[in-house]
Amino acid sequence: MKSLKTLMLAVAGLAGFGIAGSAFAQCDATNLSAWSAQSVGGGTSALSIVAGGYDSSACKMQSALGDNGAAHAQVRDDSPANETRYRAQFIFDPTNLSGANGTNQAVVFLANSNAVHQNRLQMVKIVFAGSGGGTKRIFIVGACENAASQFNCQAAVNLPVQNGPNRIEVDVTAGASGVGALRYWVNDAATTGLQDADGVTIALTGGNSGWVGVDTVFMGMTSPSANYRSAAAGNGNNVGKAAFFDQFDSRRQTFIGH
Amino acid sequence: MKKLLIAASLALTCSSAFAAEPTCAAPGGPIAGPTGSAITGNTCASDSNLTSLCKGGQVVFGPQSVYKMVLAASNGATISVTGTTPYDTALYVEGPDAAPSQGNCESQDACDAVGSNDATGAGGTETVGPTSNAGAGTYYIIVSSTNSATGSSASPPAASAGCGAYSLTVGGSLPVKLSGFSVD
Repeated sequence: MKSLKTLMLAVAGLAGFGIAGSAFAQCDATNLSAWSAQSVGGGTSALSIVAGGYDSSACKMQSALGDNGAAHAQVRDDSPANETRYRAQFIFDPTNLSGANGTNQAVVFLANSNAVHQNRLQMVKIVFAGSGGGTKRIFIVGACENAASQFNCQAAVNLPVQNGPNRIEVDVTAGASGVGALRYWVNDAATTGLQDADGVTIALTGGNSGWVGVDTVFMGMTSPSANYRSAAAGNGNNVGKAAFFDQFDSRRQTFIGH
Repeated sequence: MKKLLIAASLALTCSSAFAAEPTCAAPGGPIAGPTGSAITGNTCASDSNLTSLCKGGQVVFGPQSVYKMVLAASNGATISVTGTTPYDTALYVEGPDAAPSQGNCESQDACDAVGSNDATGAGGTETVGPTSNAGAGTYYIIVSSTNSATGSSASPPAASAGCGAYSLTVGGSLPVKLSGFSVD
C-alpha cells in the first residue's frame, strides 16, 4: 500500500521556488499517474485535473456526473492488500453541488474488500447528500454485521464548509464485534481541525470481520440518485456540475491529521 | 376438470416464479458474440443481491441476472436490455476476465472495456457497446437496477426491491473474413 498519495505530484517541487503554482503548474492527466486506473462513463460524466488546488496544492481533480444512473467519474487505487487497518484522507469541495432534496445523493468515496460478504464489498462508503433543508452533508457508512440495518452502520455529517474544501479522514479496523471499528474526522481543509486523534466513532454493530480488509479504493463521484440528476424544482440538478478532490493520502496505521 | 386446470395453472405460476435466474456463481450462457436472439428472464426470481458492480466502483441495487459472454478478438457486439414497465433496468458489462474459469463477477473486473448504462427510465432500453475495441475474453453481462430514488435525508438507500421481467439481446455484426475474390 502506498503510504502517501497526492494529487499535486507534478507541482510539488515548484512551491519552494516561490513560483505561482497555479500559473505554471502542469495540471493535466499526468497528475493521476499514482492511481491504478481512471473510470469514467455514463452520459457526459467527466474527470480531469484543473488548476487551483487546496492548501498549497496547485492542482485538483474535478469529477462531474452525467444524467445516467450508472454515471461515474472516479480514480481507483488497487495497492491496498486486504488491509485490516486502513486510513484515508482527502479534500472534498462540493461548492458547485446543490444540497436541495434529501434524496439528492451520489457516492464520493469507496473502500472495498476483496470478496463479497453479505452481498456487499463496501467496507467504507462516503455519500454526498442533501439534508432535505438545503444543507450539504455526507453519510459515512461502514459495513457491519447488522441485518436489521442492511449491514450499514453510519453517521450523517453536515459539511462544515458548504461552499469550499472539506478535509475528510476515515480510519477503519477490521474485526469481530467490539474490535471492528470505524472513526472519522471532517473539518475545513486549511489551518484548523483534524488534530483530535480520537475522531468520532461509528459503532459497528456485530463488527466487520467478514469483510476481512480494504483491498480496492475509489475516489470521485459515482452512482448518482435520480434526484441528484433531476432538474425538476426542488431536486439536486447536479448533472454536469463538478465536485473537486485533492490531497488523497492513505496509510495503514498513523493518524494523518493536519 | 376445472380443479385440474386451476392446479395446473398454479403449478405453472409457481414454477415460473421460482425459476432460477443466472447469477455470478452460475451465470447464463456462455453467449458467443452477437447472436441477435433475445433472452428473457425476471430478476425477481434471482437470489443475487449484490450492492456494487464494476470492480466495486459502482453502487447498484439487486437483484441481478448474470450472463457470461465470450468474445473473440474481432467482435462487434452491442448489448441491450429492455425492462417490462415498471422495471427500470441498468446494464453492466464487466471484463475482460484474464482467468475465464474463475467465475467471479462480483469483484474482479471493471466495466470500462465495454461500459455500463442506465440512461432511460421504467420500461426503457439500455445499450452498451459495440465491443469492437474491447478485446477477446470472457465478459459478464449483468442486468440490475440503480433504482436510486430510494433512501432519505437521514440515510442513503440500503436496499431496493427494484426487479422485473427483461429481454436481453446481444446483437451487432459478426466478424466477416474475405475468403475469396476474383475478377472475371
